[in-house]
Amino acid sequence: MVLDEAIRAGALGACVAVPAVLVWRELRGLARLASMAARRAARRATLTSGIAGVLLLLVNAFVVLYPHHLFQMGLGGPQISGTPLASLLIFLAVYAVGELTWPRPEGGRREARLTARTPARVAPPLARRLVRGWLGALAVVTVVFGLMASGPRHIARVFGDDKAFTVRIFPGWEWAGPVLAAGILVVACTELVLRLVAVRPAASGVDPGWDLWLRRRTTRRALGGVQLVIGLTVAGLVVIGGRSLLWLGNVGPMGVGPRPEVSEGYIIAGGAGILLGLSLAVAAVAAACWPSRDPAPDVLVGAERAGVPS
Amino acid sequence: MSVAVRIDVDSSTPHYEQLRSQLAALIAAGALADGERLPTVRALANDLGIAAATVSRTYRDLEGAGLVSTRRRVGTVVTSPGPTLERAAVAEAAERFVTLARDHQFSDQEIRDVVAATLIGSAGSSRADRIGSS
Repeated sequence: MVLDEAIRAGALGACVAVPAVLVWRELRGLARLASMAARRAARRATLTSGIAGVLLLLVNAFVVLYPHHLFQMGLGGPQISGTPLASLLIFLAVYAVGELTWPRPEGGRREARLTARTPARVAPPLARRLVRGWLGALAVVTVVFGLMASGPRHIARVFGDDKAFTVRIFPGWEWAGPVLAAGILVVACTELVLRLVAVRPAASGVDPGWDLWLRRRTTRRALGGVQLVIGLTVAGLVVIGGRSLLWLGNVGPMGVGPRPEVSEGYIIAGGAGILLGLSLAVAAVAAACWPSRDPAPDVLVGAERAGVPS
Repeated sequence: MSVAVRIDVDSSTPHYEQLRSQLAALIAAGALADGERLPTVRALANDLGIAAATVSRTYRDLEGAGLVSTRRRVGTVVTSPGPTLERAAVAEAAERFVTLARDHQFSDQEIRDVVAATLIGSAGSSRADRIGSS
C-alpha cells in the first residue's frame, strides 16, 4: 500500500520533473541566440509551453493514478472520461494568457511589417489537419457507440428466445454526448488560441522570418498537446467499446462442452476494436513525439546579420 | 520581402493619419500590389502598440478612397487604382520633384513639409478663387 502510494507520487513527480528538464535544456540553448530580444521572446514562449505541458500532464496523471479520489468527489465514469478533454481547456488557457500578455512595443518610433498573419500561416498545416481528423474520429466513434448502445451506459445482446446479456460499461450516449461536446469545444478554443498567436505583437528587433518561426513553434506545441489528448480519448473509447463487445460475445458458463451462447462475431469485433484502439493510442503518441523539421532561421535582420561575424 | 510602416507616437500628426499616408503612398507606388492582403486590424495595432480603433479608422479612410476593400473571411485587401494618364503624369511629376529636392539635400521630412505647405497654400488660393467668383 505504501509502495503503491510511493509509485503514484513518483509518477506525479515525473510529470513535473521531465518537462522541467526539457524546459531547462531549451532555456540553456537560448544563450546561443545573437539577439537579446529574441532570447526574451523565446524564453517567454518556452516557459508558456512548459507550464501548459506540466498542467496537462498533472491533471491527466491525477485522473489515471487517483480515480478513486474523483469518485469520492461525486464524479462518475462519464464525467471522468471527459476530464482529459477538460484538462485541454486549462492547457489552452495557459497559451491564451501567454499570448495576451505578450509585451507590447515601446519607444517613440515603432515599425510593423505589412504581412497578413493568419492562423493558417502560423500553424503547421499537418498538425492542424491532425487535430481536425481526431475530432472527426471522435465524432464517428461517439455516434457509432451511441447508436450501438442499448441504454445510456450499457450494451445488451439477446440470444435464444428469452435470454439477454448486458455489459454495463459501454460508451453510450451518457459518455459519448459530453465527450463529443467537450471535443468540439476544445477544437473551437484551439482555433481561438491560433488566432491569438497570429495577432500577438511581433518580437521587436528580430527578423520577421524568425518571429514567424517562433509563432509556428508555439502553435505546433499547442496543437501537439491537443491532438495527443483527443487521440488518446478516441483510443480509450474504442478500447472500452471493444472490451465490452468481447465480453458480450463471450457469454455462457465456462467449462468443457459446447457454448451456444458464444458469438464469434462479437468476439472478433471486440478484439478488432481493442487492437484498433491500441493502434490509435500509439499513433497519437507517435504524432506528439514526432520531431519537427522546421529549423530556426537566422534571428537577426538583414543589415545586422551582415555585420555579425560567423 | 514585406514592406513596413512606421509611426512616431510623439508626432503631432495623428497616428491614423501617419498610417493612412504611408499605406496610400505604398499602394500608389505599387509596393503593395493589387489584391495583396493587409494585416488584420488587431495584428497591426498590436505590432505598433496602438489602439485597434486607430487602425480601423485608417482602413476605413483607405476604403473610402477606394484604395482597399474589406471583405468578410478575406480581410482587407489592396485595390490599387487603375493606371490612368492623369495619375501617371502626376506620379511622374512627383518623382521629378522628389529627385530635385534630394539633389538639393532636402531630407524626407523637409520634402513632406514643402508638399504640406504647398497643399495649404493651394487650398487657400482655391478658397479665395471661389469667394472672388461668387
